[in-house]
Amino acid sequence: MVVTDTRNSTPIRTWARGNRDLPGRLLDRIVGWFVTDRHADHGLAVMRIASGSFLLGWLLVNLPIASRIWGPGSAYWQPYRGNLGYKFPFDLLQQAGSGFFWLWYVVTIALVVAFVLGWRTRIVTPLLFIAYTALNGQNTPISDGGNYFIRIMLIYLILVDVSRRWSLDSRRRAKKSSPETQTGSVLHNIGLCLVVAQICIVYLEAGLYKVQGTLWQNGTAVYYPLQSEAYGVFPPLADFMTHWTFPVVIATYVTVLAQIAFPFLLFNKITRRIALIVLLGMHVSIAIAMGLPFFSGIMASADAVLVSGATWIAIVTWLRTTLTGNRAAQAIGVRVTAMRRRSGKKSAGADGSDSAADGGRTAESSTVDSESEFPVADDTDNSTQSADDSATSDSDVTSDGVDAWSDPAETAEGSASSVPADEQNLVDAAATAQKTPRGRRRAGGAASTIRKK
Amino acid sequence: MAKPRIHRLPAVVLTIVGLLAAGHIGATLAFTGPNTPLKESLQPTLNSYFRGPLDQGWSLFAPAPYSKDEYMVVRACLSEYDVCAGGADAGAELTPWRNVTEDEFAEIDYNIFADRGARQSKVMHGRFWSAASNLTGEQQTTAEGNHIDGEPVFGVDLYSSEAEETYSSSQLSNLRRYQRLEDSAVGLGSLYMYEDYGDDVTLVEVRMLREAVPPFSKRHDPSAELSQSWLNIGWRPATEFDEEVYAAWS
Repeated sequence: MVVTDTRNSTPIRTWARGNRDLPGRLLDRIVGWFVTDRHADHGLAVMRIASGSFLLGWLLVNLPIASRIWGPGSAYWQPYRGNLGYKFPFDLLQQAGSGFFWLWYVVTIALVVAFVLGWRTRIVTPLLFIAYTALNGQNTPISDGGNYFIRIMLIYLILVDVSRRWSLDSRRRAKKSSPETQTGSVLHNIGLCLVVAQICIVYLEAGLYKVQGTLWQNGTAVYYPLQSEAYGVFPPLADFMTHWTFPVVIATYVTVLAQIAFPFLLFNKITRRIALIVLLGMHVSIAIAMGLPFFSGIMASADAVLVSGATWIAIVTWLRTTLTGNRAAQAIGVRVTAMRRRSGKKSAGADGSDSAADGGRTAESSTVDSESEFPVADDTDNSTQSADDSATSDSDVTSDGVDAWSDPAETAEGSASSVPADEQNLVDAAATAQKTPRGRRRAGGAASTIRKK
Repeated sequence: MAKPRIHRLPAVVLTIVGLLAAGHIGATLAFTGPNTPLKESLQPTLNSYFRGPLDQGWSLFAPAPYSKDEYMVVRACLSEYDVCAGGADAGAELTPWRNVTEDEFAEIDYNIFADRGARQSKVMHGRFWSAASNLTGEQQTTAEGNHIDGEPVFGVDLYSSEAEETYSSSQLSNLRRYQRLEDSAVGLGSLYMYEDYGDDVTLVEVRMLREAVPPFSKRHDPSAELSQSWLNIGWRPATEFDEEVYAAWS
């Protein structure tokens, strides 16, 4: 039994004595967070794909009038934009002719496509930032909050490994077993912190400005833009939405409260989900009722980084199950597999090789492969280094090999013992998702369909 | 669990980039936030740091929500320069007023995927109105007058030493900003007039109209009168552009 002398001791002193190493432990924890893994990689992949898709849509929608609003036709803005501080290379379009402008525009579209697909993003992301910013700088007044937001985000995403999941880069890395460096992980996590901080700043400050406004205070603010010509895209819908006082007041107050409270609601899992759902609802409403789909879409895309990897894997698993688990998809899968098998036999016969793995596949296993459209073969090998190993060398990896495109259930079998704890949670969640009745129907469905045949 | 060991290079990167990132976020918070003594104390450094690619603002329909319709209306004089200078009394051929914003908005109706061309004159209105509102009453009256001889609107080149002696630095800043936006607005108005009347356009006149949305309490009253306010740019020579600009607008 330990006897403590309490004569010269207060609870605070006792606590302080027992936690002398707290600053050191805290520092270790912070450093460990930055070093051991590249966090929110699934959320960042969703953000990359979604915001890139909105950006692509925006460029395509404006294609017919691009020359007028950003190209030579925007020269009327020169007295104004020449003073905004866009220097080389962001001012390259200001005096450009139409040929150079269209080349720039097409290259920008190509960069966005590469960004969405996650192809060479370490190079593509900074180039996209330059291309997009120069374009945007031609006519800043015409930009909305989404344009500003994605421009800032692209700067932060230069630091981030945005293609770690669900990308062409991740497939290539899986084949090459490219190691992940500690420095890369540190930069990735700092970039992630910047992205999250920027999201919080946007919502918090939008809310802080709103509480200062009389019309936001009296609960009628959302009525006004909806009744304007510029933002009341569907006048009958706007009239319906603003007909009764109660929904107008509720919508106004919920908007203000959700925006101000957003950064604080992130600290708890439940409140974070509530906040994200409320804001998603707000963005959808703005997109439809106010005719701002690209603004809302880009803002909502960034919120994806705040959704856990487990949730994204579960969502993707559910989507794939839904899309590939129906009879039509299975029938297509069987046909494709049969065609592949026939062509495989032909080529095997032609070169004289005898591949048991390819040539001897059963119909069942082939059907499962057809669901895994993206290769899963090599990825598990790349994830065999443990978290402890990764700390011993700059060139060690932290489980890059678990290819995001791979079937989560297969990944769980193939590499469960080799992935870090966080990754294991994601894999467990995905495996759980796979055990749902729908998942079982999918796994066995292919076989039963074939047996019936 | 073994303590993660960080190597020298990542440690240096974490320290330096981490501090820069924290500083940047702090600056963003100050720059984009409501006016505070802290924000004022950091000026003009904050403004210069956030110029260009880092520029941002997140008030988003606040503190006052968008509660008016903003229009830009334009007309042109199609006669010879000297005839236009004499006005309608001298036989100048004047076009009817064209509400270019109204024309642009036609694309927005029932279409959430309208292109940005539908908002060109609206955003011009917003920028111009803000700049013109910062002028003194006397300066506004001067700006609303006709200046068709190509001489500076305010009687002095705003980038000359004479202007620096005449005006205080804040006044000069306001005047320069106004002049940039007036030139842009006249340029946009000229392009719309060229689109309609071709090379005959000699002078243009631009007016900005604001019409308030009915107050919430009168939303069911169709007879509610909407308040209007105007800002005018008097007659100015039509802006001339390169051929490629006209080609983009043709």
